[in-house]
Amino acid sequence: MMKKTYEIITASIAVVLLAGCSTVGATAPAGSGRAPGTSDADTTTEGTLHGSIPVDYLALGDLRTSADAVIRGTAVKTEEFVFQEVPHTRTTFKVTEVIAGQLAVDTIIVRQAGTAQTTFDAGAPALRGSQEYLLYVEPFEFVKGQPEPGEYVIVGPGAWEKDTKGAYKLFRNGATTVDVGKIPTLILPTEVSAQLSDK
Amino acid sequence: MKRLKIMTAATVLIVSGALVSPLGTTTAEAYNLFGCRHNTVNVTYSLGATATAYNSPLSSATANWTNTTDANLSQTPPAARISFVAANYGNVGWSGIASGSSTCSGEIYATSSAVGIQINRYYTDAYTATQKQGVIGHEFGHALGLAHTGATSTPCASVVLMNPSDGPRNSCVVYTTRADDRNGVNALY
Repeated sequence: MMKKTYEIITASIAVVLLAGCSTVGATAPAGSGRAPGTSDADTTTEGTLHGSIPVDYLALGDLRTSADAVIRGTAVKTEEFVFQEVPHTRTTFKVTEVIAGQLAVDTIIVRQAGTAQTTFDAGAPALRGSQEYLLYVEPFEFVKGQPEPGEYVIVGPGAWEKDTKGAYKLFRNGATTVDVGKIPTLILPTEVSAQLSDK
Repeated sequence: MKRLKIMTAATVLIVSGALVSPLGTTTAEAYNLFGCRHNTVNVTYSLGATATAYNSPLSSATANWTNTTDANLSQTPPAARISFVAANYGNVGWSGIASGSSTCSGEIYATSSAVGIQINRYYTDAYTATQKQGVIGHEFGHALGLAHTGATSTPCASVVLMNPSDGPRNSCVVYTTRADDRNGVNALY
């Protein structure tokens, strides 16, 4: 009798402790994944640029309104540079298809905040050489209405990277807190034109 | 028998602790932390390139953190813990950035130039003074160790200064710290 009671209590404690572990995980501050004051250097997001977002994009229509063009192509070459203390990446991008909108040239420069090592958390990560992408782009400018020749930026989270199966996956920083609303995280090749074309 | 009573009491304590404690945690700690903090409550910042229109919003934003939390932000010459720049970076998709705010060693930021705050005047020159203050205050929240909280769809009653988007903060008129922001910083300092 005594032994059986002892076993039941021991089992109860084990169950409670296990439940406690998962409960703590579920109720810890979202995003940090840990309680205040508890961390270690290994879990910090090294080199992340934490941005405040000036414009929210929650649907493809929002992206299209701002974008001059929706394009497919390949990142040919990347160049990292620092501009006014902020690391940036310029990518030479070979355009293979203009799905919507207009683009007069077949090679553009895509300018992004962040680099491969220092990721910008509020937009697409720096494009990777030799990878294929689907992008919503608009001209880069320092002054509204005065585009810098040949240079473009990605509109909000409007970048998808082609995976090994040919599908386009939304290209995002894993630690991002950006709300993308109804913007699809996966677009199949057969759906690209139908979903994104103006026609 | 006495041993059985002790074990039963221990079980009750463990069960009640497991049920009550996490619920309390949920309501009190919605804020998110990077897991980094300065090793002092007196946190210094220095000015790099900026513009006159940003002086008052900067003073208001730093005073707000100082007056509402246990952290004290004060401006010093170069070699401060935080550097502040307001410049034109173009339409690259951010109005403010805090670089280095999630990088530290053993939870502690470096004592010099640990975090760089950059404000993108391409967007913020068109903001009102209080909207500028909101972006600057948000970035100082990062520089003190706070991560983002909430989303674009967060209802106004729950929008805090550490919301990642200018849209909800501006439309909900959140330009100063909210209780959740203050709780986060006070948990660190």
